[in-house]
Amino acid sequence: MCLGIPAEVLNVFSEGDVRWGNVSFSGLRKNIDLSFVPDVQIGDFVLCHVGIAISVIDQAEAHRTLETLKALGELDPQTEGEVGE
Amino acid sequence: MFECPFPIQRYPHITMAHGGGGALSHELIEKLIKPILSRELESSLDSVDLRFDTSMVPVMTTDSFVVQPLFFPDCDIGRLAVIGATNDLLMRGASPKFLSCSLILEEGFEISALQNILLSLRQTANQVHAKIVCGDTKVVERGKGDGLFINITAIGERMPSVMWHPSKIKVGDSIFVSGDLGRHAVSVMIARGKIPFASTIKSDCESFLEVIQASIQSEIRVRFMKDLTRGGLASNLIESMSATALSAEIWETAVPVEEEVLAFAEVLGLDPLHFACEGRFVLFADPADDQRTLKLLKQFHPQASKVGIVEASSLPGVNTAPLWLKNSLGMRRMLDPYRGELLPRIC
Amino acid sequence: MKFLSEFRDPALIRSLLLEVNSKVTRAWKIMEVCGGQTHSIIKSGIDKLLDPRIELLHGPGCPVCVTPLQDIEVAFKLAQSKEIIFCSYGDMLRVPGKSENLLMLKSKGAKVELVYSPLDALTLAQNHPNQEVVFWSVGFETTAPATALAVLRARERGLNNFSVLVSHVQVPPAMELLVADPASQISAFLAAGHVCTITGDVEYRAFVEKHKIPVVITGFEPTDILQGILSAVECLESSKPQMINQYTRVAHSGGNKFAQVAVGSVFEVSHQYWRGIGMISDSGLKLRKDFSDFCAQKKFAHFENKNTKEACSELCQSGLLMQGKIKPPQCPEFGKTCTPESPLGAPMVSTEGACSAYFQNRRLIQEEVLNYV
Repeated sequence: MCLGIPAEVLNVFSEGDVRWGNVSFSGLRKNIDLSFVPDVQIGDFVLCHVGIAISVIDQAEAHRTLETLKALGELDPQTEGEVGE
Repeated sequence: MFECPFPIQRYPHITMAHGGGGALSHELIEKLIKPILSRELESSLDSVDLRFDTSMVPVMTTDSFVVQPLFFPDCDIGRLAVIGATNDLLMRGASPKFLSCSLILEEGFEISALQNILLSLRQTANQVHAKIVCGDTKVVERGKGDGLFINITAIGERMPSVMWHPSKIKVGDSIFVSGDLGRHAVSVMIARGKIPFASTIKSDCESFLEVIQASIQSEIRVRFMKDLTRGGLASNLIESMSATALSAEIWETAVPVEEEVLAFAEVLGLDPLHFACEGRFVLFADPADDQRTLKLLKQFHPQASKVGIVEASSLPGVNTAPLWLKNSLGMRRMLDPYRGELLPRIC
Repeated sequence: MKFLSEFRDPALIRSLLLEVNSKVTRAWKIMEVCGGQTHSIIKSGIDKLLDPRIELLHGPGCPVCVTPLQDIEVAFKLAQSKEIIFCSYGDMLRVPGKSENLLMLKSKGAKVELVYSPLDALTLAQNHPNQEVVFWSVGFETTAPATALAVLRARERGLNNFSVLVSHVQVPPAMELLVADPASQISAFLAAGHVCTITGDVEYRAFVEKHKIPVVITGFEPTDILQGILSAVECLESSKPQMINQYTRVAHSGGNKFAQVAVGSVFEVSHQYWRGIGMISDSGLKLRKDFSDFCAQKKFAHFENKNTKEACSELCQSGLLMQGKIKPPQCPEFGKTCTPESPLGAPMVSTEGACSAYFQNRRLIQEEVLNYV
């Protein structure tokens, strides 16, 4: 039930009272309800859960997190010796 | 351009009378089925004589097809039926020769759809060099048949020296897959329209004829092959290994699966190792032939890969040796056969 | 898959494992609350790669598993009604009631529809105006907003054939119950990242303030979970309990205000019975009086069986399991009388159940090796 998957917003359109996003999960496309992310833009990534977008992914934060993790690997004592040599 | 002599304006749909054995049945066979499938089909006889090369071993298989929907990206039930049945022969190293074709039609089925399916069936039979030599047609009432079911019985021949069988599998043998997995299951499920996704994924339905002929000529020490239909890689590997007293380890990162198929699995919480294919097989071979085996398979599919290895059973004294999946961290878990009902009517 | 695969990178996982293990000096018990996190942990095997002084406990993070038997029996009765199309998430289809499940009822002719969203159930109701459509809304705070949206739309569109059977639970009250147990050994919590995406972190800050137990908002991929564990260990080793957000790319401090408004307008807090655990005050949601037209339980009150005895199979240990007191392989029935084909309780069939996590990822560890016959 907590299954939430990131998807790229390819298109935004309205049908009556509903704002939809046509999103792509690596090419697999679906229409997702965007009611809870009114500021989303085409090209954003949203977290999809049971047919609705519950958050716009903060891409800068994602990159920052990955950089932090990569830096951890560089500080790994097993590799430090090699770098020092 | 094929011109069908069947009076389609008068009978655009199948009626119960088309299965009754009378004039309309005769018209259906003589003016639609025979012209498309084979003019040599003798409608006055219920059986046919076959001639075999006595230096070869005759091999027979039968397969029924209930796929829904009947048409899906790059394929249809007619093509699927011939490929599915003849691939079973090819997995034994047998070249397809003769096919029977039984149709169970639902009252109301569109003749134009039947025509397209039969054309596809015949075209596919030609591609695998098999002749349709006999058949049968039945009609069931509306609501009792879901459009069309097809049964194909296929007979082929193999060289006596080609003895691919699970009993040949040894510890240390290499396990290969012939290409990327799972596209058939995904394309059929999306075409069914009950899962609200759109995709460009096409079925992987294709014949093994060329790759098997190449394998036989190559002298690669093949132990056994199995096509990866219902239940996908996991179920079919478990079935293969259960005929031995051995175990196998598969490497998760080596199994080729397209991104979109992975995404489908991810979003629905399914395992791509359970996705049916209709044009992919697993191959067990002598590890000394690894380079040649991979080179041969990659000629037909660049994504063909070595995905694992046969090992002694990790649970000595236990009847069913497990199948292990090793992940990118080196951790192993047991694989189970597909047990669900979320992917029905795939073939 | 973007923003998913990168967080499963084995090199990053290994770096994190080294980092976590280098910081541990004492034994700690860290509980993840969400079943999705449990599955990720067991599937990746990181629980076996951590320093053995870190024990991961699996909490009551499976809303399917804690749905009371009474709700399940009501659901089954509704599903069997000829006038109702009963819609459910796939997860609920195999959950055992007293003797059956929805899939069995479907095979006997019940109109049970698998849906991926309550909005799909709403569409079904619009397309079948002469049929009653009931949607079984089960989940944590993550899932309630979608149901709230469906109910609001049903009202806007004037639908009178759509209703919901609500079995919603909330995480913080369950955490309170767990730490109130004098025998609790939980050192820190990994909070469910998607729950916090909706609710924000205010309740978790209050929890840390009150109990001085670290809470780390954590995602679901192996690197996310290890980052959560790393933060928890750092807090514990330095004796500085904090609430930390380690899922910043998705969850923000204030949560999703739009979702909160929708939930607040449609639902109100209620007491809720958790299967295997018992009654937890203010831990559930029910429809507000304004929306009682959409309450399936009121609409079809004649189906309710107040006499249902609240019990799982006597052999099912889901209560102890979900409080982190045992792990699935310690249950004597695990893999023997209890399998996904013949489950004794919901944890073996739910995609968020700890038992299904362990069963689907059985490893070469003595207590998890099963006896095949």
